[in-house]
Amino acid sequence: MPEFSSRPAFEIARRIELRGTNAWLVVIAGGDWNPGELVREVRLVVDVPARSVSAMPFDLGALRNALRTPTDDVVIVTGLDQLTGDNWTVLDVNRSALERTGAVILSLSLATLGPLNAWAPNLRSFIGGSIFILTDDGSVMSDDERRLRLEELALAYGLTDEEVIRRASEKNLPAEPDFAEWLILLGRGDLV
Amino acid sequence: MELTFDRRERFRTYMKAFNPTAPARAVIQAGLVLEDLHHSLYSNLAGRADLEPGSQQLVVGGIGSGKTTELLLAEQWLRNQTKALCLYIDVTSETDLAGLNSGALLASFGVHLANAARELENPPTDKTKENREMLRDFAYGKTVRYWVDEDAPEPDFDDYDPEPPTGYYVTNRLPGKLNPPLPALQRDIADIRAPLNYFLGLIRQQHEDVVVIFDGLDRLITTEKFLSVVHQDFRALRTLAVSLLATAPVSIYGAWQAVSERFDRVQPLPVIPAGAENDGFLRSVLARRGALKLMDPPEADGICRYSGGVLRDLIALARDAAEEAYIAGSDRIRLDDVKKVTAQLGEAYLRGLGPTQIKSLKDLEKTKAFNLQDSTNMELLVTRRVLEYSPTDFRVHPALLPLLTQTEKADA
Repeated sequence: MPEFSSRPAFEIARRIELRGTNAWLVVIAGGDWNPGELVREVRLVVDVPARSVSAMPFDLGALRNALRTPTDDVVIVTGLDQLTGDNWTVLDVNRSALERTGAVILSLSLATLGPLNAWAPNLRSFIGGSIFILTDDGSVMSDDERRLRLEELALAYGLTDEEVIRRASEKNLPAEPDFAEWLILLGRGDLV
Repeated sequence: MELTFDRRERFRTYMKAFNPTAPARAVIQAGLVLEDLHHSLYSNLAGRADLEPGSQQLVVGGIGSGKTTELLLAEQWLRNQTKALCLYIDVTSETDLAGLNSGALLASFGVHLANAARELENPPTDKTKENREMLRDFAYGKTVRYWVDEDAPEPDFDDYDPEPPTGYYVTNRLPGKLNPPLPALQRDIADIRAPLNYFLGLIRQQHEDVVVIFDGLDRLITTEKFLSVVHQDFRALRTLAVSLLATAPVSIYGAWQAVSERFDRVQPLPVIPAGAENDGFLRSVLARRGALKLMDPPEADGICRYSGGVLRDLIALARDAAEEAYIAGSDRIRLDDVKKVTAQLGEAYLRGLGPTQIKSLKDLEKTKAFNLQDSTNMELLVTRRVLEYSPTDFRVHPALLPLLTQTEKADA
């Protein structure tokens, strides 16, 4: 069977940053996954507050309030693997009540995609193909990933690593999340 | 060397235009909607609502087909072209639809109507205040205090009785129609007609007619649930000569005749096929949002084809392809990006399908026949694995179709 894309947390954070408002996506993570890693990565890359919220014990009103106060940060919803079919239906028919300006990341196991598809087609429609398997190492990049990412940044902005460090030292670097990420990957988070 | 920040800005601007989950009202205001996509359906709906007071029209379509957009365009048309008061109500943002009962739509309508009447009377008369309170109680519930008599089954309050009655007061909260979630209530919805009539009278001093648009009712996925919620409320609105537009779930295709008889118009909003004849429509949707700034015609054609004509999928694929290109460091969307995001969408549709459903999909592909009375087929239609191009033309979602072939090979 084909598989969804496997992506590290930092790349998921970059996607959220690029999408801007009203973003919805699913991350597939193991049962013992700690959302704290993705929360930290989002805070760093997107530069907006991020938090995780549990859907359990299930209470539509409580979940709606949690998503709406505030509405503009990034929220990772956990606990969805424990929802019953009826719970999914309640979420689905009340999708409008869950809509917000900030991104919503649903954290699920692969097995829960079945109930999501069967009981919550309206929610699933919001997600489309935005389903990513979080790589095991979460926010920790391998040397190869780090090198590839640095090459992407250099290609995208037409700058070398040295130039980025120099401009940052001269406080001549735009306050863009990409540059913050670039400096951190170079081990120069002190210049962010 | 000059910094190429414009790349990021170009992609950010594009992503803003291709946000499949942006509120429809904001998308219309940004000028990103093609108004004639469904042959200006909205103006036909709005025109009839205006010309036939009390008329009732349903827009039936699958998830992501653009129903909300059509209703909002109809609202805009009514505001600009007529003297009618148009109330757009997204039911799902006001109450727990899962617990929706008869009376809830009337309650919601009453609250919006009373709010609209606020501008007409300042300060409000006692009569207006009294009617407003009745509506509020009906919608949100009220607290009542009553006597429980311990002496007799019937209350006994004889002023000349030397013995005071024995008993006690109980204070209870009577739930309103909009409290989530509700048990089935037996109160007669006729109770609410008087205050509704009162406010309609006030409104009609300034507006010729009243049109209410109920959005979100398509989330009541089964025909039975939909009809049980709307039946009495819609009947009451007809007697009040309030014109109505509402969304309805795609499952109504399975009970078309029975539903058609109850309404003045039941308008399907089918997906738009991406064949040679119609490619122009879907391409225009992409072009209106500026897709060709980041992709060439072959990529646009791929996105149109694999969206199956589902508007939300079309916008999502265009967004996702740009995201892939950006992450990969490319300046433009490539065919590889389109292929990658199409496979992701197909995979998302594939998950959760069992052998029975996969067999139904393969049968449809082979025979082109699709029985709407079959519950598996209806589920496939509701969940968008099957798309309706006309009442007799059903097809497997094109992003899912190639993956079905792969499951066949894997089985072999």
